[in-house]
Parts: sequence; structure tokens; C-alpha cells
Amino acid sequence: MNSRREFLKLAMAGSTAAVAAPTAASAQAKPKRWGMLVDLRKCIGCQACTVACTIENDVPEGQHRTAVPVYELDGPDGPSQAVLPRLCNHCDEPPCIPVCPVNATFKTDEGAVVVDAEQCVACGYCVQACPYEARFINHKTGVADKCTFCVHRTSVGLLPACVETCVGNARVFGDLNDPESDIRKLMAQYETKGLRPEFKTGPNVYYIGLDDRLASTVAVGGGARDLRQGLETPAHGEV
Amino acid sequence: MTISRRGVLQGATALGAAGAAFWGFAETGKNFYQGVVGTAKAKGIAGGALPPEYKVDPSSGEVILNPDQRVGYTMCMGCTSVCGIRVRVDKASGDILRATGNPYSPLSTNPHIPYDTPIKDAITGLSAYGEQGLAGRSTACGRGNAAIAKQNSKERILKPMKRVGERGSGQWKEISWDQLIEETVEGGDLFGEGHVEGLRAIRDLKTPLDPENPEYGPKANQLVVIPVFKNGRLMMAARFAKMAYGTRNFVGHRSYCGLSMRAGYAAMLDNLKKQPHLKPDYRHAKYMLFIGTAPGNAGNPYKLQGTLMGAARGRDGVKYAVVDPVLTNSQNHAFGKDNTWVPIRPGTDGALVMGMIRWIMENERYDAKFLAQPSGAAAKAAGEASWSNATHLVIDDPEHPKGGSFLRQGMVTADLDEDAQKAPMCLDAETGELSPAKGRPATLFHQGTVRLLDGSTVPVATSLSLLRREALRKTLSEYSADCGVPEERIISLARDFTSVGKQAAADCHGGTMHTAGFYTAYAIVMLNALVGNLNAKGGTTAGGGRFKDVQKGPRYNLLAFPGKVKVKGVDAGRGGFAYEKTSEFKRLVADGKNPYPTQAPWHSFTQPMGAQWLTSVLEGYPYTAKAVITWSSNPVYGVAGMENDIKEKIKDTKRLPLFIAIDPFINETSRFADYIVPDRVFYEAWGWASAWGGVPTKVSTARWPVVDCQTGTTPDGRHMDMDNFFIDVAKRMDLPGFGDKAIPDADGNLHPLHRSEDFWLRAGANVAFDGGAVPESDDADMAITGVDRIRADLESTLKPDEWRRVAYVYNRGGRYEDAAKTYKSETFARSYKKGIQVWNETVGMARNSMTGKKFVGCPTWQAPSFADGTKVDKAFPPDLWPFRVVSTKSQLRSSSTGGNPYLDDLKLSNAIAINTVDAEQLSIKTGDWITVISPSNRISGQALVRQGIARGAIGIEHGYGHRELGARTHKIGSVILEGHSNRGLGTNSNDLGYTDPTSQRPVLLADPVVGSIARQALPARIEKMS
Amino acid sequence: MPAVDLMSFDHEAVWRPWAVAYFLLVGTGAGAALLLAYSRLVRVAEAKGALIVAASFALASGLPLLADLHQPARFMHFYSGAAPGSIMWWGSWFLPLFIGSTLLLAFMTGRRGNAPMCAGERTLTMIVGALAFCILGYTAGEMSVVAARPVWNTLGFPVVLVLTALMSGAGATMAIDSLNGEKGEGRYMLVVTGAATLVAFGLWMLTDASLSTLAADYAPVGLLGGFIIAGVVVPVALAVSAKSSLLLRGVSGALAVFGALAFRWSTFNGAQLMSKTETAFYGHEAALSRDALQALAGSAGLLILSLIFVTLLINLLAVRASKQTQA
Ligand SMILES: Nc1nc2c(c(=O)[nH]1)N[C@H]1C(S)=C(S)[C@@H](COP(=O)(O)OP(=O)(O)OC[C@H]3O[C@@H](n4cnc5c(=O)[nH]c(N)nc54)[C@H](O)[C@@H]3O)O[C@H]1N2
Ligand SMILES: Nc1nc2c(c(=O)[nH]1)N[C@H]1C(S)=C(S)[C@@H](COP(=O)(O)OP(=O)(O)OC[C@H]3O[C@@H](n4cnc5c(=O)[nH]c(N)nc54)[C@H](O)[C@@H]3O)O[C@H]1N2
Ligand code: SF4
Ligand code: SF4
Ligand code: SF4
Ligand code: SF4
Ligand code: SF4
Ligand SMILES: [Mo]
Repeated sequence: MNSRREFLKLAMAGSTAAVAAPTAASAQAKPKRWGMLVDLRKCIGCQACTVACTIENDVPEGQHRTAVPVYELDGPDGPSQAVLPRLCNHCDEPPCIPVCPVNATFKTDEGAVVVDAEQCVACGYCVQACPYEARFINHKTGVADKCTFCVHRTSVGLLPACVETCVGNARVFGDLNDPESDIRKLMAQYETKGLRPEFKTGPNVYYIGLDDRLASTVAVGGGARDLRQGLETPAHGEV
Repeated sequence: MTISRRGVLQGATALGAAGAAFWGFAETGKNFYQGVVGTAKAKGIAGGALPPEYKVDPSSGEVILNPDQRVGYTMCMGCTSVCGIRVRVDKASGDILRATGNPYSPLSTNPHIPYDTPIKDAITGLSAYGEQGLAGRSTACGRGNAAIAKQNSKERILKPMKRVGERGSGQWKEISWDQLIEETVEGGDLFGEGHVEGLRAIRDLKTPLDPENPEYGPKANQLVVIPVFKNGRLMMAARFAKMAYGTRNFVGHRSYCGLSMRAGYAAMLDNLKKQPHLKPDYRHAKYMLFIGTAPGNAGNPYKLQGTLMGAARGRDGVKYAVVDPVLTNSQNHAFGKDNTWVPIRPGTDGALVMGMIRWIMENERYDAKFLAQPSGAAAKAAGEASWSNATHLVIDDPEHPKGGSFLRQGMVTADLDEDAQKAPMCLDAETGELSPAKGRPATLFHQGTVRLLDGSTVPVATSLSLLRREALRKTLSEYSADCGVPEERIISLARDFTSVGKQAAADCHGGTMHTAGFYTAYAIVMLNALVGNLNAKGGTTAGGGRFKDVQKGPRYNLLAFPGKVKVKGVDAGRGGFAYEKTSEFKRLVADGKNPYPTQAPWHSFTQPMGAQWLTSVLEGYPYTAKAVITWSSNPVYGVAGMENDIKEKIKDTKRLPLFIAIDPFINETSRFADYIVPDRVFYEAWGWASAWGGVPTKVSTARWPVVDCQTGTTPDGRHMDMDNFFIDVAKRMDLPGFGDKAIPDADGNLHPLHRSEDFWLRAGANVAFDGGAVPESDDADMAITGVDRIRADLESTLKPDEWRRVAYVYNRGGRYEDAAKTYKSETFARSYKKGIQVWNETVGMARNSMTGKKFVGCPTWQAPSFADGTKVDKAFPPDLWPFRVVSTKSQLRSSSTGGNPYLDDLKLSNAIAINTVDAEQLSIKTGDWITVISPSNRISGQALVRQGIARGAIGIEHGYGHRELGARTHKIGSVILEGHSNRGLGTNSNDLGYTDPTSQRPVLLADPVVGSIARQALPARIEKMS
Repeated sequence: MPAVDLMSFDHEAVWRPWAVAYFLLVGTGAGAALLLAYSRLVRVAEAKGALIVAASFALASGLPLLADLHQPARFMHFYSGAAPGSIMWWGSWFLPLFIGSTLLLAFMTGRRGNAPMCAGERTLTMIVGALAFCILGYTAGEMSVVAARPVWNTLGFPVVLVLTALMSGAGATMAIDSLNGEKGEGRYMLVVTGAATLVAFGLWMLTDASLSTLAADYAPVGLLGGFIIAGVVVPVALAVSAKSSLLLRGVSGALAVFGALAFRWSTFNGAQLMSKTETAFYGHEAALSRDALQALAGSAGLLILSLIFVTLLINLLAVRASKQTQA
């Protein structure tokens, strides 16, 4: 993996060069390990994250690095609205990485799982292997694409686009190695869960308030998907 | 070599196979070729990501700017919330790269940063440095992010257009600016269809438009201007239309937005003219009740309320309930039991709330101490943050000439000075004596009689007694039967609401836009009075207001100018004018005829009824229009029943000779225009706006061109837009308030108004100086925010001591009072001073123009009814019309975002939602195509079957079913503006709207009291399509 | 009650019909190669049909694989580094070796004309057989290790994938042989692998919920049914009953290839349309898309060219060889 690390440094060189050299103190500090927490209680399902990510990362139409499905769940007191922002979990044991035949995808020192766009042959194997459907072959770039934890921003002292614009302030991004970080503090205060524990991927996206029915495969009946599939059928009046 | 047959066959097969292979692998070949010769489309590990706009040193927090980009702060108009946003622009192309929130703006940040924060520190505060950007994040919502696509939209109109074909035919030609001004001002045989009067001829301020009915006002009122809402640019249009041109027909969209809510609050807050309204203090409330408003799903301001709802759900000890026929994202599963959804039968919330009030009265759960204070002085003495007229005595006899009014001291005591005569009377709480409302508590409940000065005796009752009487008119079980909410639920809502003292708040909005709207809203907001929460921390706030902008400000007076016209006459929609004051009424009375019912409803204490204007002027009652100008508004799409009513009539140029639309796009209304004037999209425009509500500190958000305007230019080089159209029309007509000597400064010197900047920059000077001048900006900050691009305008328009201060304000996207100024101990620092009207005298004395009956002056339950009081359920009985349609705002759209690629990508169409049980009875499954039939029309769409909608309700998400905004093809000269059928997918519930069957002349269905357009609770039935 | 998705997002199948074509071609080639090896080494038959099928199907398989890479020009990246953890990387080595060795074998066979096999050719045949095993092993392994695709990540899927490859190899051989007017090899193998496919598929269907979901919601009769009846049952029955009719043998063989295609089509496309995160399908089998048509037509065209090429190669070399021996 060493060559990968070198690559990352190179890739980022253009940007980090301009930033003042880190002080001795910060250079000594423990390396960062990025993670995200989504407080589902605060998410309003506005899709600002979805759109911001699309725009920031030039994600093509019909493809998403993150998106927020909304489910109506049944309950003893009647139905209720469950939102579930999804994105790459930047897994500790990512099934998407070992399958890559050309070592194009790897985990950075900060824990972000990324794809080297110039190395990827776009075989789609990693797309198959990710249990979270976090990957796709980008129609514009023609290579594997996924959430990068906005590495181009987070490596230069900025926050990810989806976090910056999260209306509910539901998304919290930070350093899991720093016990004083907001994300760590929230994790200490609340019970958090990751998605699809059965895959033992060690996800680094944590949720507050995740219903067990959403944690793995969500059982859905008729809804928006059926509507989309039937949308074009009969003509429906003057347009 | 001989060629065998086999060889030929093989050859032919090979050839065919080669052809197939070639065709099949062509794409691969292309990809391969591109891979070999082309450079990789993405490099590195960040995919197609944009280069960051700046970098922040992780150890020092120092900001390093990206010289290729700039980030400026301006105002969003992805919906009506007008949030402060930061817009990131690529300098080379001038394209907007991304938009998100302005950290100085309280509409986008919770809490917003102190106003004096240096520009660079604000950037650091948004970054990962010290994790500052998490708590300090400043956001744009999904629509606010997506709206950037507007600027480069292919559907934009950039040059003036004139119709060639009949109205609405979609055939246009481009014309020059000069021709536009000339033709619209001077008129003539503009379309080869005969003479058309121009704006000059119509502006007659002397001749009555109808000598029979002189109260209608002068002929100038026959110019009807239908503008956008208070989006920050409205005052330029108002200056032209009202102050200079002199038509009284100029009003925003309130009558089809949230008039019921506004009127309900207005009645309670004793200001029917300005219609202030309250918002819960989301930051400290412990219990919130939302009835017919969906904060976080829609609501105004959408984004801030979304953020605050999120924050509230993250706090301990917060509960809330959402009463809505439709389950929306106001409710949140992860928050658990502390937020409940209460499904309700559409249009019947009045019953629910009066039931709650009944229970609160019977169980004495109201805040008696607050209600007992009959005046501001008394409240102050008692330590209350507000007061009410709960104890004031009302003349409780509708037949009495003064019935419905308060008993005033002058009626019972002689020889008083004028002020004392007006003092309302109550019973002193201690002595029980009849006395004027003063600085002491008074008796809450009393019904009795009083002897007046003239010796007569009249029945009187306190306001609160009357409210209790109204509440007790029906039993809880009757209320429950009416609204479909179980009795226990009504009680638990009432109990929860009255269990946390003043830290409870109730709010409503779009869900009250139905034919029981006014009383429903008045009742809902009255809940706040019963817990005395006005101005209390954790209660409700009327907002912090704004810095002076287009006003009589510290630097310029933008409201006064030599020759300013004071408008006169009756509103074309019969709003805000009592029928009893019309000549028509007087004639009928003089003729000994029953003046009731009128030909079409009049509403005496409401706003002008903009939503009815097209309908009434095309009908000619009260009068016709000679010209209509719409600007950035779309009533044909947004007003229930409008399209049905006007789509044929509006094509008749005799009914309406001239129709000018000012808009960057062709919408369902401007499609019918004779001329379309191009306009700026909001990133390119000038203006000043404030928050609708929910912000307890002062807000003035700046709009300024953070990118270059794309519209064409006038011969003298200004961009074509609304401002310059009105300026040039006014100048050509020599109207006052425009041209060389137009804008007085504080010293009375007159300054010119020739272009947008002349007006808006001076408004900026007012903002910069109001309540103390802001500092001057240095050059460096202007360079960071891109304000240096407008430096020349600032310097040339403003005075030397002004321009750098105005730049300081633009650098920050407006002027914002610090969040620290929100509270003064347990109350809001900026508090609402007038008293709460448990009984509103104006309402209580007004009459229904159809029946002549007096309205009740306090909240009451009246089922949805037509103008003459006939119950809707009687005319459209539930056994034939089993459903009631409600419209819920799409969280992902606003009415004007049709055709946005980012939003379309999320959801291209809406559906017709029905309850699982109803669907089962009709054998309807999700995805089935169904037809919804209303009394006027039918629409078809896909069914969405869910439990999250009340039984008997049909839910249609608003923002879909467009017929324009890119859905239809237009031809401009020889250029085809291609329409996309997928832009128009889904349905618009307004197509189901209808005209009031009890009105003699057409009027769109509306609330009988205040005239708010009924887009909710429309009767309907469903048919399954085969 | 299942949830109602009020907002949901779909994902497209990332392995397009090219992958189906590739797996069919390479699997059939490998099946035929094993038939060839078995015939030559155990039964001492020439099995020219099996050779033609092995070599031409292998030859035709390369391009569709390349076509399914969205960056075909970068295929060299497979060879510029090592990714031993990735089965696909192993496949990237097996495939050219397999193609190369089968072509070489065809060359050697052609060149020797009617002469008996030399030791070198015998060794090469063994190598081809071994590589065919590798191909079958890697293709089945590559897909069945994907835990995120429940249909593939089973015992049944790789077994049926391999069995249908063998069946298709045998079937293609029968078809080519009967076209060439020969009885040739493969009938027995088709019957055995076909029967085994039926048993394995049945067991799999009974034990695996995800497959039944696929069958129930995605392609109940259309494809899976078609696969079983037309692609397995009928060819097996024909093969058993029509020992001597060349035509019926040809039809039986062609149907077996169709069976392998249908199986791949429905389980590749179908499984990819099954949401990983929700119990939902992202789409339903619509009319053949342009993409699918291109993949089918392109691959078929290429296959025919390969068949002609390999046949001509063997035949022309054989003609030359016989001329040389005559001379
Ligand atoms: N996402 C989004 N947000 C917006 C806008 C937008 O276009 N999109 N527009 C902005 C504007 S202009 C406004 S005015 C505000 C309006 O904000 P809201 O008033 O919060 O939104 P509406 O959707 O108009 O109506 C609120 C709710 O009333 C419900 N309702 C309908 N009929 C009834 C009824 O009879 N009883 C009850 N109890 N509820 C009923 C609807 O289902 C809906 O959920 O939103 C603003 N915010
Ligand atoms: N059924 C149903 N009907 C409704 C509602 C509902 O919830 N359901 N909501 C109601 C409410 S709350 C409201 S406020 C009204 C809104 O109705 P309107 O006030 O009439 O406003 P919009 O439909 O938003 O139309 C504004 C127009 O402005 C133009 N425009 C868009 N962007 C820009 C820009 O950047 N600059 C300029 N100059 N113009 C621009 C577009 O042509 C757009 O059509 O609709 C009401 N109608
Ligand atoms: S979520 Fe998927 S793409 Fe992301 S690291 Fe995990 S397996 Fe890989
Ligand atoms: S698509 Fe790219 S990153 Fe993914 S496995 Fe293939 S080569 Fe690796
Ligand atoms: S971190 Fe960046 S790439 Fe990942 S979802 Fe958020 S915006 Fe998209
Ligand atoms: S931006 Fe935040 S609140 Fe909005 S949908 Fe995304 S996670 Fe939820
Ligand atoms: S709430 Fe409305 S104004 Fe505010 S960011 Fe969203 S779309 Fe823009
Ligand atoms: Mo509105």
C-alpha cells in the first residue's frame, strides 16, 4: 500500500503546497481518521446534501455519491417518516478494495476509501462488491466513483460539501482518533449504529436513531420506485 | 483458384458477421480510442470535484484564497424564504459553481456569527479548523443548492418579446427595447387587431373609471400590476405602480399564499392592515403544535425552520405534534414518540381546535394571570410579556348598531376627553366594578348587561366569555365527529399544550387555505393567547424586523418624492372594502331592495385580493382592466381554479386589451402575455429583503449581482430588467419619482433615478447607517467577496462617506443584528407591543356581503362554506364526493423550480396519495393510473397508496404538473425553444379548483370571511383508469 | 407491513450484457476444451469440433470482456502490477493464456493434418484442459465471492454456472459437428451436465431465498423458465432420444448453448437489478435495449468470424500439410 500513499501525497501536492507547512505540534499529533455521524433525529430529508454533493463533485444525472431515501414505516402509533442519508461508509474492512484487479482503489492514511481515476479500468468489480451500493461507474469520467469524504476539501482544511450544507445539522464529520472531536463526543453520548453489520465491513458512518428495520435490507412495498417504473405508460392529459 | 459455393456462403456469412461485430463493438472502439488519445476525464482521487474555493491551514486557521474563484454573499430565491447565501463563482467563465449559506445570515446559520466578524475569519469559521464549521455551518437547502441551474437555463428569456399569433399560442418575435417602451407606453394598433390603449392613456388620475361607482377610483386603477412577493425588489415595482403611476391595484401573492394564517394572526395581533404574524421560539419551546403547517417540509422560512426543528429534536424535553391530513417530513421517525402525526379530515381543524379550547376552558388550563391583564401597563406590573383584551367587555347583541364592538368608557360615562372616551371597559378583578382597562387585573368571565348613557341597556360579555361560549357550542364528541380526530387525542393535545407554561406554541399556515380558513387560523393562533406565550422565551415572537432600506431612512427617503400619488379607490378583487360602502349597495337600499347578496363577495377587512384580479377584471366586476402587468408571479399556476376560469377569456383582447409580463421565464401566466420583458434571475439582481418571521433579531438581506446579468442591454448599456423597464416607462411618461430629480436625501437634495443602482444602492446606504453606521470596508475585503466588481457603481452613485460602508454591508450579504441581542432575560428583546385580541372588534362588526350577517369576532367553528354560508358538504355531499383534496408543498420543489435538472433528478413527478383503506375499497394499488374528479375538472395521475394520509383525503404534492417553464415548445422568430414533456409530469391540484357556486358572478372559491383562496379541502371523487 | 419508499434511488447494472456474452463465450470455450481434452486424452478421439469450439469461442471472448470495461484502453493495467487478492486479476492472466493455448493447439492440429498427435500437442492439450479448469474456476469464483450479491454468493450459482458452461461446450460442439456433417463428441457430456444442472438448480432454488425472489419478481417464466425448459430439459431430451439425427443433435446442442446464455442473462442482469439495500428491483426486463442488442449482435458476429477463422485455419493448414505429405 505504500505506493498508494505516495500517490495520495502526489495527488494532493498541488493543493497542500500552498498551505503553510504544518507546525511541529500538529505534525506530531496522531494521524486523523475521518468518520461521519448522521443524527437521524435532525435530518429533515431536504436533500441539500444530495444536490450539494452532485454539484461539488460533478456527479452525473441519475447517479449519486450520497442520497437520502425516505421511508414511511409502520408503527403501533401509526406510520412515521424515516430518513436515511446513505453514502460510502469508508469501511475498515472494505470488500470493494481487495477485488480490484488493478489496485486502483485504496484507503488513504486518513481512512477515506478512494479510487485512482487514472489507474481504474472501470471493470465494475468493486461496484459489485460494495454491499452499500456506494459505488458506480461515473458516466462523465468513465471510472469508478464514490464518496471520497470530499478528500479535495477535507485535505485542505475544509468540510465536505454535504456537511457544509446540511440543513438539519445532522451530518457531523470529524476525526475518530481525536476523543475531543464532535463526532467522538456524540458517539460517547448516544448509542450509534452502522449499516449492514452482517457484512462485518467496519463502517465509519455512524447513525443516531437508526431503526433496526433500516439497518440491513429495508423491506419496501409499493412506493416511489413503482411510480417511476409506471410513469411513462399511459398518456396523462395535456402537457 | 476457383470459388466454391461454400466459399461464397462463408464469405457472405463472414461479411455479415463482421458487420454485426463492427456495429456491436463500435462503442468499445470509441472508448478505446478515446482512452488512447484522450486525456483521462478525471484525475487523481477526487473524481470530477471542483477545485476548492480556498484552503484553511489546519494549524493556524489562516485562509488561503483560490485566485480563480470568488465567493460573494447574496440572497436566495429558490423559494420565498429569501435566505442569505454564499455563491461561489468561477472567475474565468463567470459561472456559478455552487451556492450554500451566508454565515452572517440568521436565516442560514444557527446562530449566525457576530456582524463585525472579519471576512476572513468568517471563512475560517466555516472550515474544519478547530471543527468550527460544524457548529458554525451555514447552509442552503436542496432547492437553494439546485437553483444555480437557473442562471444558465436554456429557457431564459433574454430579449423583449412580442406575441405574433393569438394570446397563448407560443409564437413570438424579438423586439428592441425602444420598441417595447414605445409600444407599451403609447399603444396603437399593436397587433393588427385594432387600437390598444397604452400605459400613458390609461394613467388618468382624474376621470373616474366608472362614473356610476365613483368609489372605484380613477381610470389609472385600470392598470393592474400583479408582482411577486416581498422578494427584496418589490419596492421598485411599487414605486412605479402605486406611487408614480397611481394605480391602487398592486399587491403581492398573499391572497393565494397564506392569507388565512396572516388574517388569523392579524385579527389576534390587532393589525389587520399589516398582518403581522408569530413564529414559535423553536430554540426554547418545550411543546409545539403545528396545524396546517409543515416546518422542515415546507414552511417559511423553510430552511431556518428545518434547522431549528432539527435542533429541537436534539434537545431534551421537547415534544411536538403535527396535525395534517398528510404525513410529511415534519415528523421524524428517529425522534420517536415525542413527535406525533395527527391525521385530520381536511378543512376541519377549526373543530379540533375549538374542542381543545373547550377542554382548556372547562379544565381552567389557561394562563389566567396573563389573560387578566387588560393593558400593557397591567402586564408590566404583573411581570407578563404581553397583554390581551380577554377581560374587555363586548356589546353582545348582533342587532345592536354597536354590536360586536367593545364597550367604551364614552358609552357609559359623560364628559370625558377623547382618549378616555375610547378606553375599553372591563370589570376590575378585585372590586368587580365596571372600569376602564388600566394597570390592574380584570375579571376574566362575565356576561351581563350595562346601561348606556342614552339609558338603553345592552347585553355585554367579556371577550373570553364569548370565546368560551363559542367553544362550548359543541360537545367534544361533536367536534371529534366533525374533524375525525378521536376525543382522547383532542384532550391529549390540549393537555400537552397547557402543560409547559409559556414554553408552548401553536402555528399554522398553508393548511388553512380553505373555505373555513379564517376562523380556523384565528382559533389555532388563539391557543397561544391561552398560554400567554407572546414575547416569552420559548413562546412566540413577531420577529425582529429590518434595518431601514426602501423607507424614509437616515440617508435617503425612498418613499417620498415630489408629485407622489396617493392611490384611491376600490381593489379590483373587492378586498379591504366594505360592500356597505359601495354605491351599488346604496342604490339598492335607496330603491328599497334587499342589497344582499352582492353580485360577488366583498371582504371588508382583508388585503387586496390579487388572486381574484384576473378573474374579476376579465368578468368586469367591479370593473375591467385596460392593462395587466405581471412580474415574476404565476397566478395561473398557483391559484386554485384560475386556469379553468380564465384560459379562454384571457385570449379575448376586448376583455383585456394589454398584457405585459416581466419574467426571466415563460410560465403558465406569462404564456398569455402580449409582451414579455426579460428580467434578472436572483443572482444577478439588486434588492433588500428581510425574514418573513422566525428571526427575532433585525435582518436585512442584500441582493446584488454576484454574477453578470445575462439579459440584453438597453441602447444606453443597462441590462434589461424589471427595474429598467419601469424606469424607462416612467421617464417616457414623465411620471414623478423617476429621472433626474427623484430621490431626496436627508438634506432634501434630489438625486437621479435612471437605473437600478440609483435606487438600490441608496437603499443600501440607509441600511448601512440605520441605528448607527457600519464601518467602512477596505479594498482587500471587497476583493475577497467580489464587491470590487460593483465598486465603480458604489463610488459613482453614493456619497464619499457612504460607499465604503455600503460595501461593508454587501461584503456580508446584508446587515444583521447580533444573535446575542435576542432575549432580555426571559422575554424577547424585540417584543410585540399591541394587545392580543381575543375578540376582534373589526371582525365582530363586519358583515358577510352575501347574507348581511355579522361575523363572529372571536374564533369559532364553522365548517367549510361557500361565500353565502352554504356548507360545502351540503352542496357536494360526501356520499357523492367522498374525498377532499389537499395540496402539500413538495419538499424538493417550489412552484418556480419546475425544470431544474438537479431537482428533477431527485423526483420527476408527483403522485396522487390516498389512504390504504380507501385504496383497498377502490381496488387501487400504488402505480395505478387514477382520475380525480372535482366539481370543475378532472386530472389523472398515478396513485400512491400509503398509511400516511388521512382517510378520505387525497394528497397532491405541489410544484408538479407544469405546462410551461420548459414543458411547452415556443417559437421566437425562427428560433424554436424546445419543450420537454418530462418537465410537465405530475399533476397540479389547482386544476381541480372551482368557482364559488353561490356567487352570481364568477369568483374563485375562497374563504367567506377574508377571501383567502381555497386550495385545500376541495371535494372530489376518484375513478380508476383502465 | 413493508415500508413505503417515498424517496428512493435506483442503481444501474454495472456489468452490462457484454459480461453475459463474455461469460457465455469463455465458459463454452472452456467446456469444449475440457471435452476436447477428455476426448483426446482418455477416449483417443480427434474431437475436431470441440477444438474448433474451444479455440473460436475463446478467441471471441476477449473483445466482449474488453467491451465491458468502461476503460478498455487501460487493459494493460492488469499486467503492470499484481493484485493476487482479486480473482479478476487471476482471470486476466488465465484468459490470454487460454486463448493463446487453444489457438496454438488449433494451429498444431491443423499443421499435422492427418498425422498422429505428437507429444508436444498432447502436452498442450493437457495445458488447454488445465487452463479450461482455471477459466471455469475463476469465472465462477469471481462472481460467487461477491457477498453483496446474494444470488451469486451461494453454492448453487457457481455450480450451475460451471455445469451450464460444460453443457454449452458440449452443445456447441454438437452443433458445429452436425453443421460439418459429423456426429462428433459431446452428446453424453450434454446429457450428464444437463441433468446435473437440473438437479443443482432445483436444489439451489429450494434452498436459496434470493433466487426465489429473483425468480418470483424478476423473470418468472420469461428467462429462468426458458432457461430450464428450452435450454436444459429439451436439449437433454433431444440428445437422449435422437442419437443418430444430425439435425436433432445440432438443435439439441444449439439449445444447450441458449440454455447457458439464458441462465447467465437472467442471473447476471437480474441479480444486478436487485437492490442491495432494499427488497426491490431497479427495473424490469424491458424490450432488449440497444446496449443489449449491440452486445448480442457484436458478440455473435465476432463468434462467427472466429469460427470461420479457426475452421479455415485448421482446414487450410491441413490442406497444406496433406500437400506436403503427398509431395
Ligand atoms: N419545500 C418548500 N418549502 C417552502 C415553499 C416551497 O415551495 N417548497 N414555499 C414557501 C412558501 S411560499 C410558503 S407560503 C410556506 C408554506 O408553508 P406551509 O404552510 O408549512 O406549507 P403548505 O404545504 O402550504 O401547507 C402545510 C400543510 O398543510 C397541510 N394541509 C392541507 N390541508 C389541510 C387541512 O385542512 N388541515 C390541516 N391541518 N393541514 C392541511 C398540507 O398537507 C401541508 O403539509 O412554505 C415556504 N417553504
Ligand atoms: N395547489 C397549490 N397552490 C399553491 C400553493 C400550494 O402549496 N399548493 N402554494 C401557494 C403559495 S404559498 C404561493 S406563495 C404561491 C406562489 O405563486 P407565485 O407567487 O405566483 O409564484 P411562483 O409560482 O413561485 O412564480 C414565480 C415566477 O417567477 C419566475 N422566476 C423564477 N425565478 C426567478 C428569478 O430568479 N427572478 C425573477 N425575476 N423571476 C423568477 C418564474 O417565472 C416563476 O414562475 O402559490 C400558491 N399556490
Ligand atoms: S461502503 Fe462500499 S465503497 Fe465504501 S468502503 Fe465500504 S464497501 Fe467500499
Ligand atoms: S472499477 Fe476501477 S476501482 Fe473498481 S475494481 Fe475495477 S478497476 Fe478497481
Ligand atoms: S463527503 Fe463529499 S463526496 Fe462524500 S457524500 Fe459528502 S459531499 Fe459527497
Ligand atoms: S442535508 Fe442534512 S438534513 Fe438535509 S437531507 Fe441531507 S442529511 Fe438530512
Ligand atoms: S429555503 Fe428557499 S430561499 Fe432558503 S436556501 Fe432554500 S430555496 Fe433558497
Ligand atoms: Mo407562500
